[in-house]
Amino acid sequence: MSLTTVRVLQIIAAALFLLALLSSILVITFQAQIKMMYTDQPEVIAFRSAPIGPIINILIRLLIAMVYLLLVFALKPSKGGSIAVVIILLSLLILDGVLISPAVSLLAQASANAYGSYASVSYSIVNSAAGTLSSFFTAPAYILMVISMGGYWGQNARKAGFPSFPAGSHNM
Amino acid sequence: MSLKVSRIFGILSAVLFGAALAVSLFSFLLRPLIFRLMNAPESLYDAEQSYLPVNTIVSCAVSLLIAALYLLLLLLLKPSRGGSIAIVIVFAAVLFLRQALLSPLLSTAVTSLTARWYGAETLAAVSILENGASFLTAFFTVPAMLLLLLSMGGYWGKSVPK
Repeated sequence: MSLTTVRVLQIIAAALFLLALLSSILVITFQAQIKMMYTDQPEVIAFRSAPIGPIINILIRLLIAMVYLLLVFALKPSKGGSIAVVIILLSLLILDGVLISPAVSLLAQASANAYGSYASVSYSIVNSAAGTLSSFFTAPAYILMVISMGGYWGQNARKAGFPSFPAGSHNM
Repeated sequence: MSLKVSRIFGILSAVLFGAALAVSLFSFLLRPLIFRLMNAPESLYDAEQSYLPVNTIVSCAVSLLIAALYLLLLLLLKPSRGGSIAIVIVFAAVLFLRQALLSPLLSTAVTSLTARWYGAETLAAVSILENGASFLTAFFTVPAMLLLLLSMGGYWGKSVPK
């Protein structure tokens, strides 16, 4: 995979993560209508919940995507350098996927449960809706980002003489 | 990334998905622990007796199937440059379909059917069990998915001499 393809894939990934964040925030606004599709209990519909789990999950991935985007554009890595960048970002993604996001999700669910079963049901529905809606954007974003990392692995931009971003900045 | 590294990542990914499926199948044994960990209200304890984390099990099984198919193609085929790009695009599309459509649809179907058939209390219990099971399997599925996608990124544009 060429470095141009890597960069293009990563720009699309970052844009998709932004859209995912917006979509999960939208669920907060329209939660009453969403809950009505699942239950007719007025206590559950009246309870206001925020999909904390999905929002924090997306925010962390967006942050990682932006850091990777910056590195992909700003760095002119050697073969070892690009492998190191990918390994560090992958470790962050694993840490996020295995520990941070599930822990946030568990904590959010546990806090909702502490308010009783209406709050628990309300949070479950809002969480599920936000997860479903945002996954239309996070799924391709995540796939594109990691495929882009696979293409970046072992790239030697110095050898290829690929221009760093912004192009021609060395001449200024 | 060399083809050898790409293949090693593909094999590791399939092994990890297999481990995740095994964990999800046996996660029902940890129900009491999951419910205590998640601070579930007492009223929900009776609702979870006959439930398995269907979403998590199906998700792990589908991922394992995709990884195994990709691994087969990776090991058996000797693609041209265009061929390897096509394989990656097809598998990326399948993974996208799985994550953006099939999994959410299955999750929505399970959520709405559980709420309609068994009531809101069972829905909350089911949701807690699914969260617990996906937390346990994430230790395998997250690195597995990353390795699979990395392997695809490395495979992109590779041509293997016949």
